[in-house]
Amino acid sequence: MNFTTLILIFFPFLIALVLFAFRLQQAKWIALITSLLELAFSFYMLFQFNKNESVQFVFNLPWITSLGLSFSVGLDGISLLLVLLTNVLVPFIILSSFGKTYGTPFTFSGLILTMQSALIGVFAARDGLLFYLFWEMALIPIYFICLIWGGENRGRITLKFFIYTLAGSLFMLIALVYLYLHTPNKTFDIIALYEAGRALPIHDQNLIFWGLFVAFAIKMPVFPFHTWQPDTYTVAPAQGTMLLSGIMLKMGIYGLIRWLVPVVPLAFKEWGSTAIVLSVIGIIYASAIALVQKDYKRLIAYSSIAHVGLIAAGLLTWTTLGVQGAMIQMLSHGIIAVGLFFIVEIIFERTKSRSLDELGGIRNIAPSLTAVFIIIMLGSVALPLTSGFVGEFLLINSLFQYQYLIGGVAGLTIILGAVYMLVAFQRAMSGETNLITSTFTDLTISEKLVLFPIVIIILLMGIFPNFILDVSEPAVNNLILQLNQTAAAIK
Amino acid sequence: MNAIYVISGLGILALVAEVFSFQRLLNALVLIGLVAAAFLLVKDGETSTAYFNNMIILSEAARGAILLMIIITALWVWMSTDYLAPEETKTDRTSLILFVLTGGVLMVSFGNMAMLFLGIETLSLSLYTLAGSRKNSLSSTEAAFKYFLMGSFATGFLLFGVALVYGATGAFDVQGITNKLLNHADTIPIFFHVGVILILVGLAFKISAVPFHFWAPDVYEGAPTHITALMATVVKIAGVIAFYQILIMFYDVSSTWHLALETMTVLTLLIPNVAAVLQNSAKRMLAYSSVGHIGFVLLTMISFNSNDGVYSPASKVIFYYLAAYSVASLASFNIVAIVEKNTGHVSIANFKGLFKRNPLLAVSLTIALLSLAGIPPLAGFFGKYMVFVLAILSGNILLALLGIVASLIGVYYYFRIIGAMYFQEGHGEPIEISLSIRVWMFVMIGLSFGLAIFADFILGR
Amino acid sequence: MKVIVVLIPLLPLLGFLAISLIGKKMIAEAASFIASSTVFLSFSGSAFLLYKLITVPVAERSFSVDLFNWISTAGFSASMSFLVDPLSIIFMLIITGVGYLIHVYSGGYMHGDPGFNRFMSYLNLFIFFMLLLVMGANYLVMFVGWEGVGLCSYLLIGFWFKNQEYNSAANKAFIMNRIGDLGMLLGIILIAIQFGSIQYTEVFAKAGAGVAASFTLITVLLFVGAMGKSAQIPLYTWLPDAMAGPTPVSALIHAATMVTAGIYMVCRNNILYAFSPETLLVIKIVGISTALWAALIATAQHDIKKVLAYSTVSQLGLMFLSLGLGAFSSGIFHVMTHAFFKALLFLGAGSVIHALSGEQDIRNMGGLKKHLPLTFLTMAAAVLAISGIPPFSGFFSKDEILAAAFADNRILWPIAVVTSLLTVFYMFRMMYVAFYGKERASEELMAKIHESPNNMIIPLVILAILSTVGGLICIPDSLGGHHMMAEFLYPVFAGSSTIIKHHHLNHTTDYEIMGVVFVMTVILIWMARNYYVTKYNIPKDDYEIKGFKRLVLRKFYVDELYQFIIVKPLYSISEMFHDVIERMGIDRLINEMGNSVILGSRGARHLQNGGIGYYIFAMVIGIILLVAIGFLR
Repeated sequence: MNFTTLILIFFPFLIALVLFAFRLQQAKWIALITSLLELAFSFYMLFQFNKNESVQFVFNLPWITSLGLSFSVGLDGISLLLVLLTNVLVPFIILSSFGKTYGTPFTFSGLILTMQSALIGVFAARDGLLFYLFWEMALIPIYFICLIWGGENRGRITLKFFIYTLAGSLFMLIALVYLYLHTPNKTFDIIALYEAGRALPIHDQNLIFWGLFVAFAIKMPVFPFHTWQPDTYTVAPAQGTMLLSGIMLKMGIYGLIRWLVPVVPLAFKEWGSTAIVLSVIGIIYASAIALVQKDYKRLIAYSSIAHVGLIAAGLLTWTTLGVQGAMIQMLSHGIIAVGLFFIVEIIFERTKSRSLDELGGIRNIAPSLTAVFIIIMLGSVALPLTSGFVGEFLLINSLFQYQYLIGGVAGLTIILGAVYMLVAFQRAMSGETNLITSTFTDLTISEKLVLFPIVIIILLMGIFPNFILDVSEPAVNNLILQLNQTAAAIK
Repeated sequence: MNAIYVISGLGILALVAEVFSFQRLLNALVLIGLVAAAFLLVKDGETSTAYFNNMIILSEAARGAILLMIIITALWVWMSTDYLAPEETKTDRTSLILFVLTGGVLMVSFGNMAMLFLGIETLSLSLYTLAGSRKNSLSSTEAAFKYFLMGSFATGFLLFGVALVYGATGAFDVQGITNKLLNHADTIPIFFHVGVILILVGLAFKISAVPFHFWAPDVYEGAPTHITALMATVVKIAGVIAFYQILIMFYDVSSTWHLALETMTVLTLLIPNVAAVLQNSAKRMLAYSSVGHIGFVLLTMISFNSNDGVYSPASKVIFYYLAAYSVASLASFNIVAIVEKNTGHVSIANFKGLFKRNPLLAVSLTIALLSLAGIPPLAGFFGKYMVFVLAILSGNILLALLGIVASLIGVYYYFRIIGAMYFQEGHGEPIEISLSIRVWMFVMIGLSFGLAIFADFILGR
Repeated sequence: MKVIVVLIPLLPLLGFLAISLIGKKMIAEAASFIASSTVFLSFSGSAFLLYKLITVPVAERSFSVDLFNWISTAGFSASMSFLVDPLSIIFMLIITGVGYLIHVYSGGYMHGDPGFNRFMSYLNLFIFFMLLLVMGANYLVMFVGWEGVGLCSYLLIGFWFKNQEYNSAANKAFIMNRIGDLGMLLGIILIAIQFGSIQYTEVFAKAGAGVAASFTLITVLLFVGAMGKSAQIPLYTWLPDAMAGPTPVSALIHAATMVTAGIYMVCRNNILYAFSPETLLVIKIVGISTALWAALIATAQHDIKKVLAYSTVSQLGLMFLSLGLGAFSSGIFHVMTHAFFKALLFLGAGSVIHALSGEQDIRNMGGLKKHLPLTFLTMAAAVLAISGIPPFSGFFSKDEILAAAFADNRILWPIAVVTSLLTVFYMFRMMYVAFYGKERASEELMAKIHESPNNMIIPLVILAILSTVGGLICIPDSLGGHHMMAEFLYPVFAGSSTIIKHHHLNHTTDYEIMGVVFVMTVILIWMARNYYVTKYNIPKDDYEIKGFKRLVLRKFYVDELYQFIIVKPLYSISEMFHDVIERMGIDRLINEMGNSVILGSRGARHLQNGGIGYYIFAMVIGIILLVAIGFLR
């Protein structure tokens, strides 16, 4: 029995319970320290991690035997990277809330920590039902974060978000149950589910494929399942948006890698291209809509849809290149999204406005904000030597290999992304200051503590991406190899 | 068996309490008695045994149901101290509650149609009175009257059904009827089937399955909230298990009732949940939701026949579902009662800012509602989950999908209350609750999680 | 050796980091010193490398330096590695040399600007990326530089960010370059796919060995990138707008170095292009038409920097023409001379603008000759050079291109000649209008007019010398020289020169061509002088200009055309997506699902009307129904 993963998952949750129980007022600090410890711990695991073995730190304990549910968790390269992403971002997210005072801080921090536990659980689960449980567990805290601290008519929007995503995941549940019922000895163990799924006839596989895909597509979200996202991102408090875009949507992508393609290879062969086309449509569609957004936060929300579309498309080519690109782009997007949303929040806090029509001239007053903003923006438009480039290059590369035209169309993101980001930047930051921006103040210490590291990470990931690529490569190869073997076996 | 003596004994004890004036001790006594009863029941063991030449049969399912009812009743007594407080009514209310329980026990452990009828009447008559126990409230009286009228109407059908079955099989007791079905299936006259359906209808009324649910929302809303809680939990358990026993009994002629049951399932999944969406009274909304939950139970009942041993017997699934459901709704009704006591109303608006006014209440109500909505990792989720699995197993995929739609709608209206509770711009002064209630809340929270985390204790394997 | 190679790009980067991290606290002098000294060091390093290269035998005149493995996954691998060979060394020298001069010049020109340090740091960053571009040993490193210089150009065009027009110009530049970059990126990916590597040496080796690859597609995609970066039709409109940047920027980025990246890229891939005559034809056509088109527009511009900008576009067109003709070394040669005289022209213009405190319209100048003698002389040298008057540098480089054109086919040559004559015309027009005749600038301007400080003049002088004698390093053998530069570059183009057949002109025809062009040039100069000085015709105000002239003045309304056929549709489509598909379509559908439930709930309410009679009635109906169903089996 190896308890490391167990600790990794439940440590934040335990602290959260403490916070709730004792209603501590200095919760922010405790939460921050907790998340930093968690981060340190995950780095320790990274060093313990053996790149060439597949799944490590495995903990497996039968839980509800009559349901075939066992608490089985473990990390391979893919999971580990996403756990790292989570644990790197959460401290930033907590720190980013220091500038603002929320009512009942212990609730706020506690919810964030609970969310962290659930997310790690999602990435570590090796049991279908457990995966589902964590998947839903992650939904609860974010729902409350948005509900309690959200903006205009949050009630309606958050509820729509909740039901929409829940509906999706119920499809996933049905699919998982269907697989479970086809396992020889009624278990949710991932390997058993893989075998069960691959053994199914094409027709059943198709049903399962769509059941799962819809769930993941809604989470990411992929066109046309995305309409909850802009509203939710816009209405959520900054930290909520960061959690949603930085980490939570990665759940969907991770789902594709771990729980969709390997489970139903035949259906994937049949429907993969459709999914890719949907994702690519999403890239263009969302970028175009981002062009005409007035609200900066909303604009970034749409840009996030575009980026995710590219990730999904590249990943669904199911080549090492594509999946690896998806992996690093997930991390990159997480960091960048957090940075961008935080900057928008900073601007909003100072000026009480996010409208590109009202803002302007901030550059004249806030040089350091401008500097970090520009770098993060460049990351998001995938300029070489930023983290964004490596991912987009690999993804477009894989898509281009998959099909010239699709690759070309997906590549348009390089242009469109630049258009909406630069134009928005110009309108909000450049020009003469006006009434609402004239009193703007440059970054505070705590803000710098969030943004400078983010900038550094963006550059480091852009210059030395191999550190990340190497971690996930064996796991990715392993997955793809498996699939090709089964595909060969079926022929 | 001793458990039944203890329970009915307790009832009589409560009656005489006034005479020998030890009302103050009554609650304590009742609780101790219930615990004792539970203990005795468990001591009896699992085996199915018959008493009074098959008048009472304590099957495994029955034992489970009785235990559950005792526990729920105990929790109810614990939470209802102030409902039972008034000196003048204390004793008779207490005794009536215990008689409800007794009736319930008989309903689930009947070995003879007469016993079933007896149980139903014991339970119902006590309930009619309890429903009207707030004498000065018009709605309470109206509820009692409605309940009584329609209840007796339904019982009439039940009796008629029993009579027909007797006429067809010449037997009152379960054994006799089943034997007849086994051996002389060919000679059974046609009206036997009518009888079966009428019996089912009589019980369907008790568990308020659509289209026999009309009384439920009105009565639930009108009755004192604590009594509503009782109806929604103990009475439901009794009714459902009785219903289940009847189905087992008439299993060989399932073709008679299966389609009818399916129709009821579809209607019960759909109509109450849809109706609940626009309710502005939390109490009424919960009333609808408790009707809706019966839909899931029915879904299990039409699915267990093709259950190929995933969770055997299906009664376990039903039992688990009832346990999870009862805990959650007991908690939510109690909190509704508390809010009602403090604000005088039960409309959703009254829950605004509850999180500020009393976090514990808000959190426990949230957990209860999440459990009802079937959100993991709470007990309610596993209940629904197993229902779906059974449905899929037995090939009722469409019904399972319908169930999913129903629970999504459920999420919508449950979250209306949750949304209100965490409303920042909440008004109203903080709500104070006694220590014992606070402990009670924690117990309920613990149960909602515990039933999930330690599900194996109930489901076994 | 390796250390030097690494230091050459690294030093400017360090300079950038130092200045930008210390920021405003650093005093301007320190900033400008750091900035220019780092570049100077890089220059001396490059010079040293040149010396090394010349001293070793031809075969060894190319070596690469591996730094570290940048991206490697799934069999794809890109290393951070540099390649030093005759081609890159020439560009390195141009970049660092001209770059250094412009750094010095900027010290004076930008003096007192609040953003002085920022400006200097950007310049350093640009040098870094530009060096990366030309030194990269594989396509991806080149692409890093390629996009990096685009970024710097964006930052520097929008340097005065209070002016939203400048910012728009910056965005336009970046986005148009991005369009090209996409093509380039896809080209690189295609190379990676088909050659299994992106290291120059391997790719070229395989190509030379005759690996089957879709050369045309690759080369065209790459050329799209060149179109963007080097402002060729149809992606040229950003360059004139880029004049929004401070004049040193225009000189360094938008004349001498960055815009010639396209030329470098094509030359670097000469072997690939050699395999695709179709692409060469495309380049030829694009080049010549751009040259003519831009030259035509330049003749009607009044903003001194706009004139130079269009002249740059036109000259770049000529360079591409020569590449299209397979005369790669001539293209490089012209890049170099052009770097000298065009940088000089811009700096001179800058000095004029500086003297007139920001005035850029030549119609408001005139008679500056005696006020700014040095500026005038140096610029005059540059004008003679660009007009191809022997022995100025431009003469040799341009002559090579014309000769190549003549040799290739008889239609290209006249067009090329017309282009160069137009060049002569608008250049002398500019000079005559700006420096001769009456002083048309306002009194207060003329009052504070002054020759520029030394740190601006010295670069002018040095560049003037270079523009004068720079051509001598590649005298055609017809004039008793032997293409030193071409010789030096030969190893780079050896592969392609075997594939592309060059018909060589005999000397007599060569003389004839030179003669004809020279005579026409002189006549044209005389006409220009006669028109603008003797007759003293000053261009009228814009609104008075009518007909074709107005069309030219308005740049043939190309910007408006793009606005109309690309930008507007893009935005209206986006609006449509947002308002129709998103709002009324998808989201509406989702919400309707929810509403339907609420609708049903309204209905369900009516079922529950509270009447007992009704309830019982419903029950009875139910029973009858169930019984009926019971018997339906």
